[in-house]
Amino acid sequence: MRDVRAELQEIFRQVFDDPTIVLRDDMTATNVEGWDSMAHIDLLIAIERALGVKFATAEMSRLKQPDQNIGSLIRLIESKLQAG
Amino acid sequence: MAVCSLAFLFFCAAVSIVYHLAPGKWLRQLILACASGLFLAPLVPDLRSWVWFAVALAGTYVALVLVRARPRGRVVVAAVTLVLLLYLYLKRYRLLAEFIPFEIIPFPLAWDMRLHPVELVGLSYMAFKIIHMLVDQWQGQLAPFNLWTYLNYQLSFFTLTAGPIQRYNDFLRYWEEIDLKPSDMRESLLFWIRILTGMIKVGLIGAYTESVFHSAAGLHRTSSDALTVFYAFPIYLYFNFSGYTDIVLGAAGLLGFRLPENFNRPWLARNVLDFWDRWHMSLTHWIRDYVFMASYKVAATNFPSAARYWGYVLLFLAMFLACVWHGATDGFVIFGVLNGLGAAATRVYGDVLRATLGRSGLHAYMHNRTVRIFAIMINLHYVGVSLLFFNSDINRAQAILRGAVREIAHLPTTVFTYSWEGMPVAIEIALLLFVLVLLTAAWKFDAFSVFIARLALRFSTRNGWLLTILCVQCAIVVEMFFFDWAFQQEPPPVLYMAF
Repeated sequence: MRDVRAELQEIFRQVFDDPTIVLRDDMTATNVEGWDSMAHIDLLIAIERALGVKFATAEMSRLKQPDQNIGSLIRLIESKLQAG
Repeated sequence: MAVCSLAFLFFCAAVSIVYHLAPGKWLRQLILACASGLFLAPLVPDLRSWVWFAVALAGTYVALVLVRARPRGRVVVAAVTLVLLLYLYLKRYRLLAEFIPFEIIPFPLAWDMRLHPVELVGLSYMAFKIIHMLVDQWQGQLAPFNLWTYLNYQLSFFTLTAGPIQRYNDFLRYWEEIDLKPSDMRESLLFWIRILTGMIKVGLIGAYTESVFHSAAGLHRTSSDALTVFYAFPIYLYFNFSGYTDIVLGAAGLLGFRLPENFNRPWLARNVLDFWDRWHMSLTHWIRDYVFMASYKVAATNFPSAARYWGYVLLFLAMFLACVWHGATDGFVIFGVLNGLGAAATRVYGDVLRATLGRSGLHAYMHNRTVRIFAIMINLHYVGVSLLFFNSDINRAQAILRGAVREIAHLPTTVFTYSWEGMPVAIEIALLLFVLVLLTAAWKFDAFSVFIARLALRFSTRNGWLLTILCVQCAIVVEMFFFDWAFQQEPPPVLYMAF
């Protein structure tokens, strides 16, 4: 079983160039400095490359909603990995 | 039926009562469909418009079914292209009409748009909805649909005329899970307060600022008139459109539907990107998702080393599209260029700051109160300049801009030589207090916001207070419509219905 959280944390640190980032489930875009629309795509492309998953436009959009957080992102990735 | 009218108020009340008395989900869906039909009927002027309406709906539904049957990239591209061509043909953008000979399109003469233009209410919003459905269907993200749900989604009277752009899956969630519980008293009061707040915004404040703007624009003799136009138009536009949004959000809420918000204090934005994230949000988010994110993802995947520069260009294009969508006249093109440049410049400036100040320096900069107030003021005026070209002739916009700049340049002289004689002392004190309160609110904005939020919470938790507010609003709205009736004035139109 892959440790999605650990891999995701590493991706976050690289994309936002911040080695101090520690992911929590309740974290949102407002908790990470510089997480705007462009950084959002950079982040999702990095996740797609590292974890071998694909995000649809509606999913990318949904992840920008105020009620979405790191927990939602992890659950989405895990469901994609399980689906193969 | 005008949204800001007594007729719409009674319409909402009648639909809400019948809807809540209906015992089952299917019956409630039927009532909603009938309400949308009743709302639509007077907005379609003639048979030709009805036929084009049916052609647009049937054509887009067939395209959607085709994409469901064959979810391939080429099919989606073809379907989206057809939707866009149909949209451009029906909208007949003035700027495009100069380059494209629409009359050569082989339709019978009687249906030629040049000779007999049709009026299709909400055409732009229907186009946004179908494009999002086509893309989501292709990517396997769209909830199940059929002709019944599709028509109700497209023609829903909450969003038909001027948005907000609700996504299909969100619509279907409320459509399928219609709440059969009796409605909550407090929630109902809050929705009615929202409807009446919207009516006061459109019919009173919007109408007043519109009259100030029109009279100054009509006179347009002095630079003071130009300055009045410069400040009055954005205020009018905000109250007109945000008021409309309040009305439809409240109406939808009465029937258990939640629509996306369209405004979030846009005049407090500190840059152009921030402004568009607060103004007509459902459109901006649609453009962000289906234009910017989709194209930037392709660029960043294929050209990773130049991704940042592609980002600037695509940001410009996305913002340009968001503005030009309003209408491809030369004024809207300049409006689009200014906002596109503003968005790209914001991004470049942010990257430069990040590179020069570092993470901690950027954090301090972003949270500096003085910087924020200056940024808000600069952005307010930049957006104000771009709005001069909104739905306006370029020469007129330039003349207003020149006059406003001249007036601002003379502002210190005007202030120091202004004659206060003849003005009652009480009014002078009230004006000074007002300016002081404004400055304090701007300086201590966070504390001020918390204070307002606490006050709103205190009032909104007690039904007695809500009922009192509602009664006061009812009195204002009844008086407002009485004046319209007495002076034989039409209810103020919603400007965004024209787009």
